[in-house]
Amino acid sequence: MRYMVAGEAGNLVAQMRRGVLPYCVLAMLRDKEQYGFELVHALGGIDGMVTGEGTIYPLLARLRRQGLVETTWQESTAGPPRKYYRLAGAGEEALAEFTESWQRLRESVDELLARSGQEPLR
Amino acid sequence: MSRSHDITDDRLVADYLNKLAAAAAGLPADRRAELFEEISLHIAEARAVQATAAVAIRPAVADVLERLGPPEDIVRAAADDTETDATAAAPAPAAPRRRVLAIGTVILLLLGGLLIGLGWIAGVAMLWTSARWRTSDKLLGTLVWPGGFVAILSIPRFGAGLPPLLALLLLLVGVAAPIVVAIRLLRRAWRMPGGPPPPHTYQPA
Repeated sequence: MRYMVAGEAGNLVAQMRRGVLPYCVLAMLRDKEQYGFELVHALGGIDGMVTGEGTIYPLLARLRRQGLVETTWQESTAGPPRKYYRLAGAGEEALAEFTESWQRLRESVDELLARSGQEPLR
Repeated sequence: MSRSHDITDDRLVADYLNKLAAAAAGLPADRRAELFEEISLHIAEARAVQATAAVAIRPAVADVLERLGPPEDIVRAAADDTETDATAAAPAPAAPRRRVLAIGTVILLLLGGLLIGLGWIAGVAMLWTSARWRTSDKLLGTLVWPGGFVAILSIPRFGAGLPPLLALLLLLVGVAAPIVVAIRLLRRAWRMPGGPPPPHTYQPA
């Protein structure tokens, strides 16, 4: 691993996390709609998923603009009105496509990592 | 919770939102308003939870704000997203292969009929097995026209008895419709999972 700069792996993980986060959000909405605070708080509680919960809101806004999620307002008995997020048809398709690609990539990388124990990769 | 606590908390929240507003000054107005609303709601929701929770599990406002992260980070994420949207047409790492597949599918739909019809059938199969198109796109791609351009070749034969103007019109529609559908399919393939470009782009102040 002499060819890799120290710290690069950490940076790469941050980039990967950023890349998969939208799909993790879609996955969290697969079974039931959730309101912003609920969704963001749950994601924030998953180890290593997000650094600041606030950064999920711009992502949610983008998913909505892209038509991958839909939003509805609902009154709440305990607090302010809640904006509920729900998976849209295009979101389901994007999630299905990602799930397939992810599984394929993960299997390939796992296999390579296991194999490269004997012969170091350049 | 005591009154002095409330006042301190109010001040913390106001400070946080002020910083957010200042940091977001360079965002397009609609994005800025949306972000501000979401973050304000998040804090209000957390405080509503706080008011009803038992003292032992009551999250402090300072903790809520800390979990949200620095306002500058939130705005940076929003600005990145604005840029991502604007460059949605630029190839993503996984895009080239998908695009080649999309182009291949469209070419087969248009011209595959020339290969004894088999090419067109392959195109339809590729169309329906892909997740990048909606059902409406798939129906359009299949029905306009079965066989693609080959369907148009039969117009001169059909049109022999028709008035020349009508035959010409049929021919024009016959040629134009699959092209329009092809463009629609390609545009959709280009956009997924990116969205249409926004009207504004973020200009750093």
